[in-house]
Amino acid sequence: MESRVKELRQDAGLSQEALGRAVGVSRQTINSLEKGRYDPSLRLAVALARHFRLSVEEIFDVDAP
Amino acid sequence: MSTHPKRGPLGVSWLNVVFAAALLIAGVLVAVLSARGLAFGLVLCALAVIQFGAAWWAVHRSDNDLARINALEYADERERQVARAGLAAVGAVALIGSLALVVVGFVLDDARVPLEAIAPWSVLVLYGTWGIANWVAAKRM
Repeated sequence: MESRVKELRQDAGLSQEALGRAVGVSRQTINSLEKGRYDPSLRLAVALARHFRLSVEEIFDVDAP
Repeated sequence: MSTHPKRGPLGVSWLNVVFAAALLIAGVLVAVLSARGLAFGLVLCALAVIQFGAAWWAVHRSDNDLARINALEYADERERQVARAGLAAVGAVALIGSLALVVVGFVLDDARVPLEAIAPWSVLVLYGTWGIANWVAAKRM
C-alpha cells in the first residue's frame, strides 16, 4: 500500500528509528511501510495518524491498486 | 503503543524460557537414562544454553529483524507476521515430507529405514526451510 509515511517523517525531521520508537515498532517496520511492502494493522495505522495529527486516509492510499 | 509480549527472566520471552528448559531437561534425561546417549545429552544441554543466549542477544544486543524472528523474539506486528509466514512454510514442507514418507513406505514394502536415520534429516530439512522461509518473508514484507 502506498503511503506518505516517508514524506511526513522527513518533514518532521525524524529518523526511522525515532518514528518506530514513537509508535512502538522497529526501524525495519517503518522502512517496510515506507517502501509499500508492508500493510500496517489498524492499530499501527491509527498510531501513525495520531502521531502526525492526520487521518489514516491522509497517510495511506487505501484505494491504490 | 507497545507490542512487546510479557517477558520472562533476563527479558527473554516465556516461549524461549520454556524451549530452553525443555532442551535442558531432555539433555539431562538422555545423558542419564540412555545407555549410549551421554554425548547427545551434552549436545542438547549445550543447545539449551546457545538457544537461551541467542534469544537474549536478539532482545538486548541485535538491531536485526531476522535475528529476532529466528530467535522467536518478535519486536512488533510485522515480525510476528513474517514469523507466521515462515512457520506456515515449515508446516507445508512437513506435510509434504510426511506424505512422501508414507508413500515410500507403502511402495517399498521391504524398505527398512530406521527412524534414527530419518529423524535427524527431517529436523535438518525443517530447520533449513524455516531459516530460508523467514529470510524470504522478511525481504518481501
